[in-house]
Amino acid sequence: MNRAETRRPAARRWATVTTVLTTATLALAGCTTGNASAPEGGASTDTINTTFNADPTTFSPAQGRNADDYMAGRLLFDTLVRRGTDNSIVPNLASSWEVTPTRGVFTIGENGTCSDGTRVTPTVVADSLKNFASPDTNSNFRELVFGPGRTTITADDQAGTVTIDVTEPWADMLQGLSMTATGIVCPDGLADPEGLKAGTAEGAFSGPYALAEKQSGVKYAFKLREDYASWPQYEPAIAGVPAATINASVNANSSAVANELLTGTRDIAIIRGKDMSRFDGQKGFTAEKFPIGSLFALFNEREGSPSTDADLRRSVARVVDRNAFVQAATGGQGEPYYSFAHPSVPCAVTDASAVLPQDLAAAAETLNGEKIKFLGTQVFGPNGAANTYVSEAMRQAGADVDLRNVDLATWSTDSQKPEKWDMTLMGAINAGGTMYGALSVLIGPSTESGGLNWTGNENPELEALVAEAMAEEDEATRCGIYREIQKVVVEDAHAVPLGSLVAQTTARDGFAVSVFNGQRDESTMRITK
Amino acid sequence: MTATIATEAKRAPGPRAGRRGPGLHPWVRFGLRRLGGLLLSFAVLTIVTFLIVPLIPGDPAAVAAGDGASAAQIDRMRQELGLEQPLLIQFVDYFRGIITLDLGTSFISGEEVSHVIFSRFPFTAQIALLAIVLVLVIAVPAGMGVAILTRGGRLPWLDHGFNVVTGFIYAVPQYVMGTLLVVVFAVTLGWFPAAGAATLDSLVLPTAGLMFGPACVIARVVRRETAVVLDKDYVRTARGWRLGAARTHLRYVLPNLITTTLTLSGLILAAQLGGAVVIETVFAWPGLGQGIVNAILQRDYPVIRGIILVLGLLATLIIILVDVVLAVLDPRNLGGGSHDA
Repeated sequence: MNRAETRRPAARRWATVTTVLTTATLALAGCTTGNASAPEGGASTDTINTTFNADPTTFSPAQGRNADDYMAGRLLFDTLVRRGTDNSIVPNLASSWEVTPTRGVFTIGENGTCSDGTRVTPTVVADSLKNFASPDTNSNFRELVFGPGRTTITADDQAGTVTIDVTEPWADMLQGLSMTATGIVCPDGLADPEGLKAGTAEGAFSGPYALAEKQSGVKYAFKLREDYASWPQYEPAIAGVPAATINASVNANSSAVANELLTGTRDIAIIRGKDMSRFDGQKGFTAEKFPIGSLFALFNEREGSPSTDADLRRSVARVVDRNAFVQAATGGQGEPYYSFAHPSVPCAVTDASAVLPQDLAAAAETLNGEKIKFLGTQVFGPNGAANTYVSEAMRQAGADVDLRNVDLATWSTDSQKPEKWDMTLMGAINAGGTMYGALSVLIGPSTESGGLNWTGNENPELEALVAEAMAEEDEATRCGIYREIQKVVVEDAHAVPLGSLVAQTTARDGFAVSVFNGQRDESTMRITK
Repeated sequence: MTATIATEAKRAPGPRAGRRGPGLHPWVRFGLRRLGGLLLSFAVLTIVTFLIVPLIPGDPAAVAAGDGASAAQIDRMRQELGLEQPLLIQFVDYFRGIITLDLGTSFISGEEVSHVIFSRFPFTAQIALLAIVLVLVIAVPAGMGVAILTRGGRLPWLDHGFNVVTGFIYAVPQYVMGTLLVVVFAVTLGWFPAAGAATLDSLVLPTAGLMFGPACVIARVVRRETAVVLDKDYVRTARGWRLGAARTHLRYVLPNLITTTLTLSGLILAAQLGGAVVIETVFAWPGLGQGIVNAILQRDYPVIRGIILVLGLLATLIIILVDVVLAVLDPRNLGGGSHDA
């Protein structure tokens, strides 16, 4: 380079640098952002803008693992039945059914179709349910739906029925078949499991929507299927019209989601934590709180842990003030619970009759000087304030509490190692909304034996009661047994019910979504004016 | 004797020969040095990302297995993810994947890591690039202007005010700045979207949140550098020739700011590409910053490793690019001066 070149006017050099950078930026912007303005909502739109908390991990309903998977599953796949108001079961793909604790016969309606036009026949339904029940599918929900026994599923296309037989009585089958995990996957999806997981098996969907666009970390678009006609028969019918397009952006930040709602960028969204209160009395919005889980203290009842002592567990129950706990865990947004099952679960105890009253002096007699390893996760309250509250209440009664407030992944890992904890706070999601779903962490084979029982105490007495309930055809009698189970669990403090984990479904005027029995059903999102 | 003198002359170091050695063109030597640095960075990043990521407490299999998974299901997931294999075999697979441009698949979604990165990178790049452009456009003239106006102790209030304002803005944490921008310009005035990347105007607030701090830094540096240059003899001489203020400043002052400003801008850009986590979270901007945070929370080892590797290499490439630009603008930079790695 000669001197003349080095003396090139500096302004030109700067202009070159900034032009190159600006061009690159604008090119990138053109590749990523659109140029549409935010929808105004109301009558002028056929689109609902909503949010995912995170990317769905799979579009295979049987393998769904979190709320976002369930949300996508609700839009993409129909189930045989749905849960309606007051824990009623309403038709979806099945038009009618006859169910006993060991058998279910479902008549499949004529309206069901797949996204590739294939009709949803009994064979299609049976194949999908066999896939769900197969150990190879590794669904976390198989036992909740069909119980621990062997399942036989047969189709009769001429009679239009699917028959499900279970070797061990399982009264939860009907309710279980309303779960997203049992969503009917069409033949195209079963033939292409990887495509099903990735959402690329275009003919896999039996639900009202098909996946039209997938941009990881950014957004997902669902298009209403023109040939879809098997809407769930809710009573009363849901008001409004389904959106032609549902756009779900990925946004884990509840404050940002609330901002998007308030500025009209989103129409319907779930808000968590303190941001829920931003919509208190806010004009132009409807907000409904719903439980996303029930919080209870759970104990490691394996040999060697001090929690094997029922008196110690009861003493922990006696130190807790549930209202103070709810304040710490949810900023006062939740409510005290008196059962490990949330109040919308059929047969859940909703009064304080069984819980031990707060009595610090009595608790101190047992807890004083006891060393207790408390494993907590930071997700309950700001930085795990719920754990901090319980541990401080125990310390007040003289316990020597070693609290480890860790992130969710570490908690999931360490809770599988019994030597690392004596007690923990469990936030049970209970996606199926069944009593067994709530009980499953307290009874049966321990986690180290391949079961779901975190306590390590198989509780044969409770197991026998559950078996009795599952074999009982009369609902009222079954509820009586379940109430007895809850009483035993709470009195022996196998679990200490504490409070609810809540979220808030929030919609701008002109949009709505239904919450049935404490569970939001995303396929009920509607444009209402 | 003549021969001896000729040999000495050959051996005698010229102004540049001592450091560079004979034979290779300066640009080739420059390129080789940078290539060596790049390869070293790549090797270190590959090894460090592989070894460090598993030190994060928590079992990825437990997270991937999801809510309600039994120990047996978690074990099965661990096998599916290949976490049961010895570390050495995992490393060999990892390294083989990298050199064949296969960064693996996400533990959580099963998606290819390269796809995760390619879908998120443009979002991070666009706010980072736009921010650095705006930083240069605003901070350089502002810094120069203040230095020129306050030369020789004139307008002390401007000098003082400039220092206070830039110092204050720089001290405001990004999450506070981001929240203020949202409250004022999105929620209250409704001028721009509060979050997300759905529309072109979504760029405005995240870019603003990202540029304020660096703009203050560069403006202060430019002001200081300009003040030094303005005291140089050649600037006084230029003034003495009555070349005019604009010509003097653009031709004799501005070129002397390029080295410092570009070097600093390169470092800031590299930091913004990897460190826009806060801004991306406040504005729900779907970039790599959010991607790596999510991946860490989910113990998604392949995604964490992939993003760190790509960001590390990008930072190295940006620094090399700055060196190249500086060498093009002033060949003295070819010789391994202050910017040599």
